[in-house]
Amino acid sequence: MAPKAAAGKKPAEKKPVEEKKAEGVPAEKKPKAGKKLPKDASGADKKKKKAKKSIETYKIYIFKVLKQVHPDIGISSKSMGIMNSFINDIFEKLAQEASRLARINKKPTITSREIQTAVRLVLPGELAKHAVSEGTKAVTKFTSS
Amino acid sequence: MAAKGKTLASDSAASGKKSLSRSQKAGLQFPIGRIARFLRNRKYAQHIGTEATVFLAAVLEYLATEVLEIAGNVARDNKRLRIIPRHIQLTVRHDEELNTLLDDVTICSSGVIPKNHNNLLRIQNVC
Repeated sequence: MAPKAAAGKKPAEKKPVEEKKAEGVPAEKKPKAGKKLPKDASGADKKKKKAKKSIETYKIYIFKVLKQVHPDIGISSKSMGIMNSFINDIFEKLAQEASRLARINKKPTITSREIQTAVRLVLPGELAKHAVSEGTKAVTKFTSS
Repeated sequence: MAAKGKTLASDSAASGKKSLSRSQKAGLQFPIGRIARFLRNRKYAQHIGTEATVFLAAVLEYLATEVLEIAGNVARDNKRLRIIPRHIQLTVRHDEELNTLLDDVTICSSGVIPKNHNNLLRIQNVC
């Protein structure tokens, strides 16, 4: 019994010693500047962290279209940037032309008619015909649903 | 009053209609809502029709599909699994209508179409 009690006592005794030692170690190291700074910096970051401003692109939609057309082909990030710039460029061309058409005809509204005329003016030949048919199909499906 | 509220909730639950995005209604991948916001905020006109945004989104999606399809074929011909800017350049410059549309556009890191001018070739004697 006695040795068991002694054995039981020993680890219990050791623990406070270990705790004291553990307490002593950071206490000794506290005055050193090395450990303090990252803690403070992380704390400051947590308080002052600015929310990242989101940039809107067409990249996820271009990726979805690529997977519809070629499920096994990927695209590099530079090519994705090129495609994003292409979509933005065509969007501006069509919107500017539609705006000009509405203004020339003294109408305050851009309707699908202005967009269709802008597509016929901006896109060349067969590309315009196919684009108009795609647009008309989408509008019909949208209005029927 | 409570009964009215209950019937409304029960109607929506009974019909099982999930709220669909406008892109899903039109069967498109491109964002109709975002394009509508761009048209409104950038002051192209006082008012923007709802069908105009659907039409424009459809046209942009068609053009993206056109370019990506041909670029994918070019990538596959060159035994690559990834589209790089060179493939987009070859796509655009070999297609007459896309070349006309992007006549004044420079594509970064894409090279040129291989071409030798006739006057730079050796004189071939015609017998």
